[in-house]
Amino acid sequence: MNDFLEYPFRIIGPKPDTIPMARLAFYMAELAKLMGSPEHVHFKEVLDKSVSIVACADAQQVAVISPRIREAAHNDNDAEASAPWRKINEALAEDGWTAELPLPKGGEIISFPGKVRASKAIRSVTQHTAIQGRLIRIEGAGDLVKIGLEMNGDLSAAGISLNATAAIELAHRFHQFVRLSGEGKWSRNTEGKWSLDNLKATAFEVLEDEPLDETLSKLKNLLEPGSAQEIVKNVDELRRA
Amino acid sequence: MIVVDTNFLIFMIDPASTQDKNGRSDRVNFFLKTLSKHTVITVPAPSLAEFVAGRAQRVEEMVEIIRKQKGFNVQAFDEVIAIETGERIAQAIEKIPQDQRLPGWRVAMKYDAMIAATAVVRGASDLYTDDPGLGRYLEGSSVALRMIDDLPLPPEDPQRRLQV
Repeated sequence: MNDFLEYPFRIIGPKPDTIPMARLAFYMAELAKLMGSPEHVHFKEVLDKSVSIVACADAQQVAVISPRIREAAHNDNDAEASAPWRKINEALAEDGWTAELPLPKGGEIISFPGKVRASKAIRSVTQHTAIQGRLIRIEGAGDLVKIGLEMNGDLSAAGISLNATAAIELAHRFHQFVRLSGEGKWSRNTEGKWSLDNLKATAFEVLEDEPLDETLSKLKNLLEPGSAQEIVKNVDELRRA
Repeated sequence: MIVVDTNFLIFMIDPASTQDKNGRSDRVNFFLKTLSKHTVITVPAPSLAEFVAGRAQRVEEMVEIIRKQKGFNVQAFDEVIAIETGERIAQAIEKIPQDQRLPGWRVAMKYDAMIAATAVVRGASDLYTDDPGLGRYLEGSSVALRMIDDLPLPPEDPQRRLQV
């Protein structure tokens, strides 16, 4: 027989004798969709105090189910389970409740906040900024030259410029990887996404393209032999402090 | 672009430091082997603070090595990230009922929130860690929390030697 692990979905607000049965059934159905793996997930019980819908899953499926739920919670729009995640949160918002789901093993608790809070937009923050990427464009005839970088990641960075004298130097590094730094203007939209709207670069440096394993090996040589495990333990203690 | 927290960086440098709990050494080695060569690994400055506080030596030399590489970025804790950190700490605390808040939470250094906010502001796709507590600071963001124990194990060798 397979081992099973529990996923207790706790709805904070109602009691078993106050929650309408149809509403309870709705939450159960959406929880099942959120977890996925329908052949391996079963209903176990409803506990009282708060309403806790306990589902149990085949222990071997936990490596599939937990990342799926986590992905939905942290990546609201793109995840496969985003539809049931949103439906549960919308329903909780309508009901004025929140919920939480402790994941088996490890003790991580996924919070269901009810409606997802909109972020406060921030129009402009100016600060020293550095960005890096592959140099793919240099254009302009004026004192300030526009620079295009191919960057790894989701940061939107428009309007990068550099003074013409430095840009002529930089042009020798076309298609190479560089880091540009200078004064950047940042903003945040109501979805909480930050953008670098403008960067007036004043300096650049050329980056090296060493294989990752070589870099990691150099770093390892700097660690005292056998000290890594001790550092991990100390950092764990620091986080718990 | 991905962000790694302090312990995950140490595991990358020395996979044996995981003590191979739950196949972690294999998971980290397989992760390193399958990581795209275009991926930039961001190390948030607060991770360096944890690294030093955790009694690591020669951290300044490590920084010099990685900051020159196109595959790494040491990200300063700047004004924008400070704003994001503060808001995420406030949101996380708001969710904890008053009587369940730990004494002294007001003064605790929230390295985990700083690391999470760095990932959010700089547009990371994933944050790699062994600390599930980081998840509460990523809520509503597009950054996926990747736990070391959820990383895939390498496929087993199909040419296993027969026991004869």
